[in-house]
Amino acid sequence: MKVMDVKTHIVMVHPNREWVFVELETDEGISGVGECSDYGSTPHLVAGIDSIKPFVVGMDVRNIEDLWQKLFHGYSDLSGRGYISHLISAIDIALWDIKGKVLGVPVYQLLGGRVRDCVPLYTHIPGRLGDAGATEKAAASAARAAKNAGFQAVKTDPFSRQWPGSGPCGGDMVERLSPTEVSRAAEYMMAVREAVGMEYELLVDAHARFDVASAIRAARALEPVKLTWMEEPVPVESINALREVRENTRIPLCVGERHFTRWDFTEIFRERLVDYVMPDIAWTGGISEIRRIAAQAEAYFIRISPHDALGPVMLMAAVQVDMATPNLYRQECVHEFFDDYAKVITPMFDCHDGAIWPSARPGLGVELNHEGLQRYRVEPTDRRIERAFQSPSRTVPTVR
Amino acid sequence: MKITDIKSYVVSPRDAQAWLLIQVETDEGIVGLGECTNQTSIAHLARGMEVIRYYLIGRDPADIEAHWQRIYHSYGELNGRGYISHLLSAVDIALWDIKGKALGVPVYELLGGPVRDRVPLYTHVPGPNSGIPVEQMVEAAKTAKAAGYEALKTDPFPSQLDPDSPYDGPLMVERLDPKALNVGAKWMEALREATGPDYELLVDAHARFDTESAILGAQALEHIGLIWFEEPTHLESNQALKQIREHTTTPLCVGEHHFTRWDYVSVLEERLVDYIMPDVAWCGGISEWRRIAALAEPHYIRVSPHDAIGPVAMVASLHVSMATPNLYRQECVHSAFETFARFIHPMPLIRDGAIFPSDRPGLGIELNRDMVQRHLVDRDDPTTMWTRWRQLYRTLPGGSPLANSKGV
Repeated sequence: MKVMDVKTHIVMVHPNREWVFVELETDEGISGVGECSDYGSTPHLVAGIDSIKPFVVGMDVRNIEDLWQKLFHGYSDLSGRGYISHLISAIDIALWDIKGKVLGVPVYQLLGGRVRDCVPLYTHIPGRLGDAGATEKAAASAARAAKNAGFQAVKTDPFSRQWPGSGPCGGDMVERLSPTEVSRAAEYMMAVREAVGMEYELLVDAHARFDVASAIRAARALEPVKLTWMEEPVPVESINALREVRENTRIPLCVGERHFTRWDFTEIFRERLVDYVMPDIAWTGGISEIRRIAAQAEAYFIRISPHDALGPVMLMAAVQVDMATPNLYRQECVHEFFDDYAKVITPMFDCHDGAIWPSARPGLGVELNHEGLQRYRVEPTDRRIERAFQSPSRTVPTVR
Repeated sequence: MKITDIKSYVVSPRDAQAWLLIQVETDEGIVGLGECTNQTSIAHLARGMEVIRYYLIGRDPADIEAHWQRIYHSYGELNGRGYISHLLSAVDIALWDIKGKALGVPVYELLGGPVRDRVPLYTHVPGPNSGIPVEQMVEAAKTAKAAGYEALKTDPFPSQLDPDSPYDGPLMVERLDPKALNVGAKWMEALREATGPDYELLVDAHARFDTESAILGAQALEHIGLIWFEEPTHLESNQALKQIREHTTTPLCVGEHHFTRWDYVSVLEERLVDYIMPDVAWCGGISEWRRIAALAEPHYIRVSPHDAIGPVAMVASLHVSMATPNLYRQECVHSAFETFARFIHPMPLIRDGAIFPSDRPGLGIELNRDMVQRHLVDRDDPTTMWTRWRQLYRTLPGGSPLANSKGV
C-alpha cells in the first residue's frame, strides 16, 4: 500500500483557534489523519507539509520508522527538533492511523495493548495570562465547576502579560515579574485552592516566559498552594536557568511542550531537573517519538502527561498512547473545546467522569467530518491565522 | 525609513546547488541583501520567508535587535534554533546591509571597526565520495597551496549510505567499518604528504557517525596532526561529543548545526571543542554570530565562519571576520569564486589565500540582476538538491529520474 496524496486542512471553528489536519490517502482507499496544529505557526507548518510531500507520496505506508529516521536526520540542517518534528508528527500520526485501520485494531493495540480502561484528564480554568482582569472569584467558580464535572485536576497561568503598553518591544520578550505581580498570582491561586479544597490537584503553567529571578520568586510564592507542578518556569533554551530554579524552590517542576524528541529530554532526565514531562504528540515527533520519550522517562520513574491545547486529532492520538503507557500522569485537555471538536470529527469520543473512554474502532478511532471541514476551513493566507506572530505588528509601540 | 517588500530569489548557479537570496526593499530606495542557503531545505526556507515577509513589511529597518528578539522568541514553539534562525539570519544580514548603506559605512565599521586588514581563508579538496582518485586530490591540494591557501579541509570517510537498499532510515547514523576507516586514514596520509608536515589540515565528518565510529575515526587520524576534526557525531547529544572528546587527542570543532548562543553554552562550558564554526546565514545572522564569537572569547576559543554556500553569506562572513579578534580563518570553497563573481559585483578581492574588504557601505556588494533572473528556479526543483540528499528522494511516485543518483 502506497501513499498517493497528502492533503492539508486548516480548520477554524472558534475565532483565532485554527487546527492543521494532515490527511494521507492511499492507493487502497484507506486514509489516515494526523495533526500538527500550533497557534501562531500555522503558515509555516502548512507550507512545510508541502515541502516534505515528495518524501511521503509514493512511500510504503508500513515503513513508519524508516521515514521518521530519514526526515529527522535528513533535515538536521534545520534542526530536527522543532519545526521539522512538528511536520514529522503529523505524518507519523496519520501513518499509525493507517496501520491500525489496515490491521483492524486501535492504535493502542499496536503499542503493546492497553494498561488502563480510560484516560484521566486534567483541564483548564481561566488565567490572568489571557485576561489580566480575570477575577479570583471567576477562577474559583470555574475550578469548582470543573471539579463537579468530574475533572480531578485543573491548570492555569496566573501571571498577566508583562509587556508595557499595547505590545512587546524587543526587550520584553523574556518577561520580568514584579513583586506585586507575583503576589497577585499567589493570591489568585490561593483563592482557587480554597474553592476546591486541599486535596484537589492544581497545576500552574508559566509558558516559558520568565527570567530566572522572576521564576524563582514566583515558584517560592506559590509553594503554599501545594501545586502538583509548576510548568516551564523559564525559557527552554537554558538548562542552567532551569537548574537554578530547581535548586531554589521545593515546588515540583514540569517541562515538555517545547522539548522535541528524546534528544531534548536526555539532559533534563540526566540532571533530574523536573518531576513530570509533558511532550506534545503533534510537536515532538508523533506517536513513535512520544512513546520513546515515555519509555525514557519510565527508566527514571518519572510520569508523562501529554500536552494538549489544540485540535481533536492530536488528542485522540495522545489518548491511544496514554492507553498503552504505564507511567502516565493525566492527559491534558481543554474541555471547553470539546463542542468544537464534535463539529469536525466523527464519531465524537466518549468523555465522562473526567476521563476519555476510547472505543474499539481501528486506528485513531475517529474520522474527519468532511462537511465540518468544508464549513470551517480557512486559507493559509487568512489574516486571522497570523495571530500570535502578527498581532504584535498591529499593536507595536514605537521602538525608538 | 520603512520596509516596503522582501523579495526572495531561489537561484541555481549549477546542477545540485541552489541559493536562497533575499532583498529587503525600503521606501527610501535603499535595499539590503541577505541569504540563508542550505543544501537540504531551500523548499522550506523559501516558503518560510514568505511568512516572515508579512511581519517585516511596514517596519523600520533600523530596529534590527527588536526584530531579532521578536521573531526569535515569537517562535519558541517551533524552536528558534534551526529553521527560524535560518530565516532570521537572512533578514538580519539584510538589515545590517541597509544600516551600513544608510550610514555610509561598511558593516564591519558598525561592529566596532576592523581588527585586521584581510581575512585568511581555508578551502576544500575533494574526498573519496566525489569519486575522484587520490592522485587527483593530491594535485588539487598542491594547486591550492601554491595559490596561497594555508589550510585545507576534506571529508575522507566514504559514505555508508547504500543506494541499492530500499531503506534509508537506519543508515542516517552511519557506522565506519575498518575498511572505511582505512580509506579515510590513507586519504589524509596522501594529503599530508602532498602538503608537508607544517601545513594546516582539517577534517569534516559532517555529523554522520555513531559515537564509536567517531572515536575510531578521530583516533585513526591522530598521526596526521589535524587542526581539527569537525562534527564527529550527530549534534543532538553533548554526551556523545563528550565521550569522543575523552577518547582522542585530535582537536575538535562543531558549529554549523549549532544555532544561536543557546546551542553553544554547554559546548563551551564543558570544553567539548577547540574551535567553533557558526554559520552566519544559519545561526541568527550577523547579530547572533557576533554574540557567539563574544561568548567563545572568554574561553579563549577561536571562531571560524562556516562557509555559508552562497556569495552574499560569504561577504557577510567577511564583515564579521574583519571585526572579530578571536578568528581562526574563514571557510570558503575557492572553486566557487568564479561563479560568485558572475552573481555579485564588485566581487571582493581574493589573493594570497585571503579575502580583502572594501570600504563600500553596507555589505559592499550588489546583485547582478540579470544573472539572478536567468538562473531562477522553482523552490521544489529536486535537481538543485545536493547529491546525497537526492538519494533520499527515491520514493517519488513511479520512480524519479533521479532514482539511485550517485555522487557527482
